[in-house]
Amino acid sequence: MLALLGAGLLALALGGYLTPVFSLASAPVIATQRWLSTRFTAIYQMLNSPQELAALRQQVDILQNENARLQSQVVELQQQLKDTELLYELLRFARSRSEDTYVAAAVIGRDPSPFLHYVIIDKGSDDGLRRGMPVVTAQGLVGRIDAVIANAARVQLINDAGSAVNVKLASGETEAMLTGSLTGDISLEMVPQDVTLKPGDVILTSALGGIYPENILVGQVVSVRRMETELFQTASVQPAVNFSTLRAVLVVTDFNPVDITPLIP
Amino acid sequence: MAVILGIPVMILVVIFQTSVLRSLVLIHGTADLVLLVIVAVAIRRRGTVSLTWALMAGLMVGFISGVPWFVFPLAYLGAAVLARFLSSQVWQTPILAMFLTTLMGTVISEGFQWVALRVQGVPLPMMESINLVLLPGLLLNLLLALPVYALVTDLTRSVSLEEVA
Repeated sequence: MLALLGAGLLALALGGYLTPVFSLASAPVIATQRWLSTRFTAIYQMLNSPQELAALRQQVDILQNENARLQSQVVELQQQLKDTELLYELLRFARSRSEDTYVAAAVIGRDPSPFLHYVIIDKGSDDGLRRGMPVVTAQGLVGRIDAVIANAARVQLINDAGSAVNVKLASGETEAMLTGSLTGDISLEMVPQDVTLKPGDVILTSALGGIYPENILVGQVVSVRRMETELFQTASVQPAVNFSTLRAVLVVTDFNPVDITPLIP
Repeated sequence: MAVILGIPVMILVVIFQTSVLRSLVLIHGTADLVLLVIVAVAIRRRGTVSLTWALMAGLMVGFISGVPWFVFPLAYLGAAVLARFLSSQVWQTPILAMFLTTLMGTVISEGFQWVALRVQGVPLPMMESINLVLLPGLLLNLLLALPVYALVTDLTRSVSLEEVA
């Protein structure tokens, strides 16, 4: 009897006649299971989240540290790139003037006095530097060595108030004098009135006085001041070198400046 | 001990002055950290320590600078003496003494420099020097006076150099 009943149910199931019944019966079971599973998963995650959270936080810390390390590496590499570009410019300048011998030096400080425009470089007499040697960069004239010790030197910039450089106009043979000032501005003085001076004129060092090598770029005329009642006209000059951002220089070591101090009374 | 400690402290201060502070310019004036430290030490401590530090610092700065070497030792010694005098007059308000000495010390220091350079023949117009160098430098020194005083106070306390002023 039971076997007959079972065979009958099997036949109905295989025939698909019991499908709606199964659906109707399984729906609440599945709903209950879904409800229970959701709650259990929430409780399970809540109990396990501290561990996962700690692991995630640890991972974030590691990634942040790595990010900071890489950023500092990027900054360092960018600085090295700038230094390399700067040194390449100096090298290119040195090669273009192969008749001179140069020693490269880094600017490591400035004169403590606000009245003076001097810089301190990290090369000294041990590197062959001597007082009076001219100092240049790839852009142009910087100044001359004022004092030197074994491994450092002080350079008087051309925009210092006590500096005076014999120069000439690139456009002609007109000689003049370039002087600095308290404010760091440089001006061209003692230009004869009959000379045509105009903005944009290039200023180069002259051999007069024997203090600097000839034909080093100094700057460009910015404005001219000409008064008929004066003997000479003057001009403001834009220096070729940016002294406020000076970081590396070349010292011309094979140029012997003329020392006229015995002639000074 | 205090004198020996002064050597590395002053070396560091001078290095910081020449490599960092000297590039921070207001118009054409700069702060003088060495002067501020000497003045602060002179106010915080009796005895000859501040005078010794002033002499050491002055010689260091005079060695580096293009100004005649004796200018900075004289200027800093003068500022230290002035600081000690003023701190004894306004002993209840050392911060006031710090500001007063900073003001007068700056004028003394930069005045000495200006005179020495003028004697050497460097063309430095007086009014430009006052307006563009002295006054901005004075403002910077006054701005830094209080932080420097606080740092020196901590320093003297941490190395047990302090005497009750």
